[in-house]
Amino acid sequence: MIRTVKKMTLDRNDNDSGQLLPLRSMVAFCLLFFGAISAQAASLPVENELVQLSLEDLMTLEITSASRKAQSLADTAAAAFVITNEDIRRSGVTNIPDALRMVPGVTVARIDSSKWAVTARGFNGRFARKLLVLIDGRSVYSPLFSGIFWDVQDTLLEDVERIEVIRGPGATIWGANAVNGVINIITKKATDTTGGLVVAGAGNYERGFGAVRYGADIGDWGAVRAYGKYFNRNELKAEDGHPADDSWDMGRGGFRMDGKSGQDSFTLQGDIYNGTERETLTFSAPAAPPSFSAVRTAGTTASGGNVLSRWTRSLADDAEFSLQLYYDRTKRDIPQFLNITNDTVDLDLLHRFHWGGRHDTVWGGGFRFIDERMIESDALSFNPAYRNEKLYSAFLQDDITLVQDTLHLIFGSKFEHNVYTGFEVQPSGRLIWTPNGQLTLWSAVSRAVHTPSRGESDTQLKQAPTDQMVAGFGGAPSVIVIKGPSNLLAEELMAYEAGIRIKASDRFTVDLAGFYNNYQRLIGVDTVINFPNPPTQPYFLALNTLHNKDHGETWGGELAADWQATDPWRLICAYSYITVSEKSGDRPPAHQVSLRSQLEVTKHVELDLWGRFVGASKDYLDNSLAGYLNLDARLGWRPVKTLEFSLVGRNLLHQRLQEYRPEFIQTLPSGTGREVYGKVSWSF
Amino acid sequence: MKVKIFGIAVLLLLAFILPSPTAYSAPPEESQLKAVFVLNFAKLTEWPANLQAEGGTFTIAILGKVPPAAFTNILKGQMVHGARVSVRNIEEVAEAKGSHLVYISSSERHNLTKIIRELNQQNILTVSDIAGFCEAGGMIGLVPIQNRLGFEVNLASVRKTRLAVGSQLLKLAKTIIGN
Repeated sequence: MIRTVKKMTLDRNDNDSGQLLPLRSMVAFCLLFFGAISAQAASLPVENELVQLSLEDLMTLEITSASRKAQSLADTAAAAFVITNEDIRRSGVTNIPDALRMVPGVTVARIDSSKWAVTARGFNGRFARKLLVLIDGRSVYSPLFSGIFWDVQDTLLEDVERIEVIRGPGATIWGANAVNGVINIITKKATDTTGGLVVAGAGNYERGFGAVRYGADIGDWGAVRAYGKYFNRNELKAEDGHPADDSWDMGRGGFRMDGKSGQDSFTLQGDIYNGTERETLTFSAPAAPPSFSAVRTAGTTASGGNVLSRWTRSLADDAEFSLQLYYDRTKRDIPQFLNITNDTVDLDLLHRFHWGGRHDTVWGGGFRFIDERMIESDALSFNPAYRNEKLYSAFLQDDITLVQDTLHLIFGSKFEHNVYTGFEVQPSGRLIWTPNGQLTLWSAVSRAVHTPSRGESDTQLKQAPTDQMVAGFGGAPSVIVIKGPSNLLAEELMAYEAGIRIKASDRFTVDLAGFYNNYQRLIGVDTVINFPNPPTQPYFLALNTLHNKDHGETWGGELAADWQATDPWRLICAYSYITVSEKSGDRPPAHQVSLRSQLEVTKHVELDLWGRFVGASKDYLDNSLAGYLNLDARLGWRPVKTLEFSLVGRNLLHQRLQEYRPEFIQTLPSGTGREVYGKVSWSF
Repeated sequence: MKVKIFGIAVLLLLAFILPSPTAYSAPPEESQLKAVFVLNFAKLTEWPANLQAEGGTFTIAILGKVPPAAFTNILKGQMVHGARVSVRNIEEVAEAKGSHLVYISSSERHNLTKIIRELNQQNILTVSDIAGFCEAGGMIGLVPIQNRLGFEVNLASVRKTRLAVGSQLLKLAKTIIGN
């Protein structure tokens, strides 16, 4: 413990020096005395205090393996939810989007075999853009549309430590596009995954999957692991009941190395992946009556790789400095539509320190460079043809202890400069009150922005007409064009949130959060119908120009409850509610419920059930999507500690369920049906 | 007179200000915390009369990979049952003879059954942070409970020796095997 010594200077302009001399020297002596005590306290090692604690006290201490301020969920001034490794294992999910279905406030909708629409608090879509997703500190949203290609966000799920989901703007530290939420996927440290793991399984939808991981210690310094995985997934059924021809497969491998020496810790990790997905796309074909569209099925290839390094140094007084550098390459080739390669280089630094006895300050800065190489097609082109994307950012946040261990005020802001809208500021203020160990109350006001991307600002996309349009034009050829104006502004959000966390007992916790979001400058569309103008435009043209004239409001709340009903039986419930004003993107389901039951039938057998209800919603074309009830079940058997067999059934209540219809690119949507798979997991 | 009062006020003010409130004692390192747990286990366990170390040394042997210096530093020089703690690193189970407590490092997790079988025949308290230690027969196992530390006790293994684990220790155990 280091105590700061405050120096006091004496006022020497005293009149009566005779009487003052003993007083002055008394004060000076006291100063020296206190100073000496403080200095001695500073050199008193932490060890001496630790050994004096009783066993009971020891069990209340939070451990930290790197001198970072350990922050438990109860201390977070935000709507936070954690998916643990155990939650992932017992839910039977085989991909990250399905795992996110258990989080309150998050909507996950399957588009086809390899595509999902995931968002938090409304504004869903295949190209949902208000959610920031990070894997081990690496931002994974695509610069193409500022959203996530979920088909390539994957890792060995058994080695995921936890997934932290924060609903609401996390802009201060994370930056632009963390508008409605942040998802942080954290993998286990290499030091926690030494030894081998082999996983294999197959089923009707999961045609076959397997993974191998091996980790080893590196002397006293740390450890390293390497993994490889592959899966092959079947096609689903389209809305007319026919097979959708959207099967896919993907191979992936990677490594992670962690080491620690004194005050320095170091991480190096990387992944590489390659996969093929079949999809059916509808293209505009004005020369092809009667629908003026052409439907083609082809194999999209997606590949990429990344390398990330991070160095953290623990400084005196529980301070910390960290430097992170990563490189990320993504490549996607949708035949006759889009062929794009993105290279991203990102450098971030962070410094956290304490001062004044009450302040926990963190500040930092970053630079990101994105290079893009694109081959245009008839359907999709960009104007300007090239943007050299450089993103500069800085942030500052201060956590002020108003009343020790009870009341904290946190305020801060992120400052960014991007090539579309220039300079953006995203401030946030939060208050968190923990009157005792059972109750936490928090509230927050934040401003967040979504900066436009290539796919919004610079795009020129041709789409085939809808059936209504063909009829409306009396059978004459027509084309839809979606065009970005090249100077779109950032969408803005002012969010007002509050929440309460109650730890009723060691076995029951409830977490409640409410929000009101006010969006301005939302991206919307102006439609103008241009009459045919041969020879260049021998068809009706519905020109949709993107603009920032929309605005909207959403409000709602989320509830999460965790109840260890009996020793072998745990129940976890998540409920979300949202209301949107007219112009707020698609219409999200008003209610969502997730209820999971984890039961240890015997010491070796587990029975896990997961029921979900998602309310009715509307897609981007205002067509209805029915609400649904669904059920997953898992039976796990662990005859010995190192071997686990599991049998998983998913979407058990539906023959075929259509959860979403995608916007922008006219991909044929398909729906899930009943799935079963068996899996073996062996660790050695 | 006024100045004297002022001076006393300054003194009082100093008394309040100088030791400023520090909310941030550095959270303990995991290895340090484990070492203090081991110390407490030793203090709350009774060894049979002829093996008591009173006045002599209380020997803790660490089997396997050498733990971080922070671990050993906490233990060295502490007093347990009136004896000074001495820490040794050993490579083989046979070298544990004469020790009071053996801490089995995670590097030994592949040989756990064999190690426990040999050690449990002597009056040595076996402690480890290997997952499943108590289930495998180890006496006290450190287990993570979320981001805190707790422990389990295999009372059946303890009862096979002449060691006696105090009720104070048992009360705080997360799980007791063989009760």
